[in-house]
Amino acid sequence: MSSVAEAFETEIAVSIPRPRILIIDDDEKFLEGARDYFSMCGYDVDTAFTPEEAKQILEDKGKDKYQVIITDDNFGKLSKTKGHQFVLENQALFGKAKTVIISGAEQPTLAVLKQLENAHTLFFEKNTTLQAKLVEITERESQKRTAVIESIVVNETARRIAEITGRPVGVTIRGAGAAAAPALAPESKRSLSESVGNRLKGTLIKWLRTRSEPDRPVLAFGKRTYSANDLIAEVSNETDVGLAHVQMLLGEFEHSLRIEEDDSQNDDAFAD
Amino acid sequence: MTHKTTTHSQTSPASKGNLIILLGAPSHDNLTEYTSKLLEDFPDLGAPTLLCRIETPVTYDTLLAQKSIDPSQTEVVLIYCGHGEPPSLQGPGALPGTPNCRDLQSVFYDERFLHLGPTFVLAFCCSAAIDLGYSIDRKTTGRTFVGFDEQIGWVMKTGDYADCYKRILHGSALAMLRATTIHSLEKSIREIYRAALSSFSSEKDGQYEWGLMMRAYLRKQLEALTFIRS
Repeated sequence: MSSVAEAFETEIAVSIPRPRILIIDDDEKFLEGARDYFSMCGYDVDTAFTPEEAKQILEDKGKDKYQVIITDDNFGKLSKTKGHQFVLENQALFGKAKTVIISGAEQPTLAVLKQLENAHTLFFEKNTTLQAKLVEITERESQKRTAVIESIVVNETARRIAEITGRPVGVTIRGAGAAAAPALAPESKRSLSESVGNRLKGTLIKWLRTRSEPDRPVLAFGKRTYSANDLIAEVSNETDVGLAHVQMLLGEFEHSLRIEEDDSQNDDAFAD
Repeated sequence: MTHKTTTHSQTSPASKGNLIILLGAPSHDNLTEYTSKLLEDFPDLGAPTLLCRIETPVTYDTLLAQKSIDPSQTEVVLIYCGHGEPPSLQGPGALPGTPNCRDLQSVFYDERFLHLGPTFVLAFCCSAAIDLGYSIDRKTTGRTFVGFDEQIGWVMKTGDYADCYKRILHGSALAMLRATTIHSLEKSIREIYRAALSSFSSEKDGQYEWGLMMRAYLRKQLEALTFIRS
């Protein structure tokens, strides 16, 4: 294993339901590495080289297909459209996707940043490490590409996505000092992830099956109403609605584990 | 923690003197038949209140005209409880009796009506904050908007469940009118949600058959809340 990989060893953690991510960048190597990495993290990954291509994908697949969209801001010769323009002008296509713009160039104006903030879009600059190391090492030592992506993209992107989506992207990062800790093989970790996901689905279905009026539409989510049996079908078929409910159940478990901490943070945040 | 709060002005919007509360209650499918009832017998907010049950397609400008409300002379507080689909608040899509009328929706309010107000919007609808909230923030001044930036869920039960939603609606409306800053507004409404969550805590699951889902949906609403003062 390379020293970079040792220093930034990753481990797959629970990653359910399997979300979809769209990455837009004119750098083919970056796209390739990011696809590998986020696939490993449990994402279904689509990529596009330009905002125009991405727009076509979003129109074809429909909004709410993606949980996260990551876009470069500058597409060089491939497109004159800036990433932030694409985001602001096509909000209707983005649905509920959380958006991250990565820029290697200068930041847009404060007014544009304000608009991006209102559009729940995070803007951050690629630092020189991200830019330089990706180019340098992927070209010279292609065999280390995966390790480099793990170490850099995890640091620069995955944490940000976890912050804005409020859910883990499926990785934890350990530094060199923690490298001695035992780690499961990737196959075992993926198996564990799937197992936990299936357990959560099963728990929710079991709970729904014990409702007293299983065919009465008691729940509404989005535009539709659901009986317990309707929702069981949604969860079993892993539809967007079904998976949203599994995710909410997971959220309930998470909340029960950290309620005291969250309450104290909220109080601090609102202090006058 | 990210607070989805944006503000241009920290203080309450200036008053035109006249204030009217419009309770927008579309009623054209299972969900809106439930949510429209939540606005019935709405507790006093200290201003004249009109319950507008919306059973046929209508837009905001037409509703104002029907109610003889001049938006240049009157500040409107719109409390809208129904469907939302970016970039609009939605109402019935067809006349009652029309085939599939319960599946159809139409635009009640979108950014075309921004020049007519309202000064305050409490939008209990899916995803109203995504585009509409953005437009209000970007294109108006002196407005207050509270809504959600994601799809939300409801447990459509009467009794304590409905009473809980009514407390949230009334408490949020009251907070919107009284809060002097956007942060005090956010704090007040989040407190209302915390109280609601505690009334459906897991210890009471034996009492409330749908308590788990109620908590999940309330927490989802809490996470999706967006506060804007332009």
